[in-house]
Amino acid sequence: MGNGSDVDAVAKLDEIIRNRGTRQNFHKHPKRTMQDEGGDPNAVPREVWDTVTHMSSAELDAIGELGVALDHSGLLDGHLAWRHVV
Amino acid sequence: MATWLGATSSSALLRGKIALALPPLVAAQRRLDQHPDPAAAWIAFLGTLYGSVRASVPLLETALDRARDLSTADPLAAGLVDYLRHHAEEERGHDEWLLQDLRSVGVASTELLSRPPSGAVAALIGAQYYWVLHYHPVCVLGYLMVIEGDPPNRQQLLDLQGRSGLPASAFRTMLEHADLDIDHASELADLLDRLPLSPSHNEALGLSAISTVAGLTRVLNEVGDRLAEVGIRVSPGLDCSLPDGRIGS
Repeated sequence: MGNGSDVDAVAKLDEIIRNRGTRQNFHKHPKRTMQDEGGDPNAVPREVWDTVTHMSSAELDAIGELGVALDHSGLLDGHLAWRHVV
Repeated sequence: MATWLGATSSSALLRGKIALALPPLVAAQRRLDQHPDPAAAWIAFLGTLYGSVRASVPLLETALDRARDLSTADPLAAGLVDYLRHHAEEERGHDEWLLQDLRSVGVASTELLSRPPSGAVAALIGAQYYWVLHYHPVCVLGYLMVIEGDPPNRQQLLDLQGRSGLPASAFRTMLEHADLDIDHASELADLLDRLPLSPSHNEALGLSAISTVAGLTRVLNEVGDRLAEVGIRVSPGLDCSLPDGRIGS
């Protein structure tokens, strides 16, 4: 996540995905839902946008129920030792 | 979000879905990483990890059997057979490595093996059996991509060993995987991009992966909660059991 507009846009996307109603709208009309909720779809990093717009309704539900926001700073860059292995 | 490569291939799309799901898992890892007694936390973590590692080969063999059964009429299943057979062999014996690592810091295997397994571990692995047996064996690749797609970091493991005061033997299995799983992740991505995956299969892989992240988060949070409950202090070479006799799992 680079500039502030990226962070704001991902935070808005996260808010949309956490809410069942907006999540369903997003699945059907991603750009329009982002705009209706006050977010800028063009500011979402392309790889994030491509991923969420390729996800099924069930996958978005599963992400939405995980309970930690996408925009928690630093959480996505962890390289910690406590990994599971096979 | 450095793991995203652009959602143009099945492997990249799956990695993107996993990256979206990761924050709670990283938070759970960080909680253990910041535990004031790293030795106790690591031993408890290994005990729990054993619960899932001992299920790896049986799970892969179940997926292999199912893929073989379907393979005459299902090109996707046929495309899994060689990979699953090879991978099950590669993973064979790693549960014994973990028991040896734990024995090296005083954890008795008999005690670990006699303890009822964690419900969180059973749910993590059990979900895979459901998808493999009742939908398609390709689902196990979602589980593997989460676990092997982002291998343990060697330097982080060595740093943790230094902080914990535990012997290198307690990190042997994880250090081996830090090296092995880099190749495994690459092999898995190549396989995903060769397989004839339909949109439904890609969705099932995503659900399997997200469920795996959620399951691993629950497993690690259980370890963290247990450590917090008992407020233990364990030193290498001494009795490594928790006061109630549990280590993990």
